Amino acid sequence: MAMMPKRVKHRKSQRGRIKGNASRGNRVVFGDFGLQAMEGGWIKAATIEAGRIAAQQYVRGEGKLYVRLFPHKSVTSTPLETRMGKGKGEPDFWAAVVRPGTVMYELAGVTEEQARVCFARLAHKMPIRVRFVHRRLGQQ
Amino acid sequence: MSDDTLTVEARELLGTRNSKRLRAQGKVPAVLYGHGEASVSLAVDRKELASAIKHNAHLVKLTGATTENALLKDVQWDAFGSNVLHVDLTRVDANELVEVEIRVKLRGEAPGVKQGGVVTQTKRRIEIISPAIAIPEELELKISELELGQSLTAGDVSLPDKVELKSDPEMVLVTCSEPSAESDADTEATAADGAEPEVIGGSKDDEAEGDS
Repeated sequence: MAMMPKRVKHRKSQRGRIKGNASRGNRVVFGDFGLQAMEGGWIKAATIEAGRIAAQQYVRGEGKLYVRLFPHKSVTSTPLETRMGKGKGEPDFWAAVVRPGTVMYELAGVTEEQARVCFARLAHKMPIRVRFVHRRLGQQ
Repeated sequence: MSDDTLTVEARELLGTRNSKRLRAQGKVPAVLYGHGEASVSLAVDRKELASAIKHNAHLVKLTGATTENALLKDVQWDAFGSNVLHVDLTRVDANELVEVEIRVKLRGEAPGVKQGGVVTQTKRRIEIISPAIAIPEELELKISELELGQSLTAGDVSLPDKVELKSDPEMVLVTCSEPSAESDADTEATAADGAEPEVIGGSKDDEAEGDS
């Protein structure tokens, strides 16, 4: 089942704008390898979950997968064939706001070859361009 | 210990625009400070620097605009972790005691893995106090006796001569534990479709009224 916050201050949020690159959450911290976003975007909770399942099925019992995303943003939509006006729509799904550079998933306890295959499977689920990254040099 | 040499040039044109131009020429802006002397703005060759960083060099020998030993104090990376933007260097005497963070590499194969466990390295770097000339590139931690359910701490790392541990010796570095039985519906904050989270400081009716 898809992730969503337990408690929120407001049910609906404004759309906002994704400006600049990620200045935090942009390095591999927990695992040995990571999947880094090369573009900004909203990643739906269902997409995060789909990626997690795709990766988890591959590494099951061997490595450890870390999901570094959480869908904090509620996205609203108005039903089809609705006339204009009548206020903001109802929450439709939850999404994580991703900036270019964000490390979205991490893997530990597997070889680089295994991690590459695993993240390749996961990358197919992502709506944005991603790349495989190691721990940053000098911080290995 | 490594004997990396960095060729440095004095940098007279400062500021963002000049630093960008410098990076376009394959150089990295750097600053050298410490020992109560004035700080000096320098430019370092990117390839030499990358080579030093790649094998965890701490002490580097500077040649060119200045000839002295320096410690790689801080490295700034761009948002993607691809390029080095800036380097901080501190002056250091060869025999001076310095505090540095060193990578800990695991050696061997844990018997706990054969028992179905997973080895997790919770900390990858520990702090040591060492003479600048004798800073090791990395430290080794043997896990060949790590059974399932056991853990190894910073105190278990074998240190070379003249090197002291600064981190807490009780700090856990690596554990061997049973893999967590993750199911497909194990995430904490999950909910069925259509469910909504609780709104802080207001009932749902109030919220709905405010929206209409």
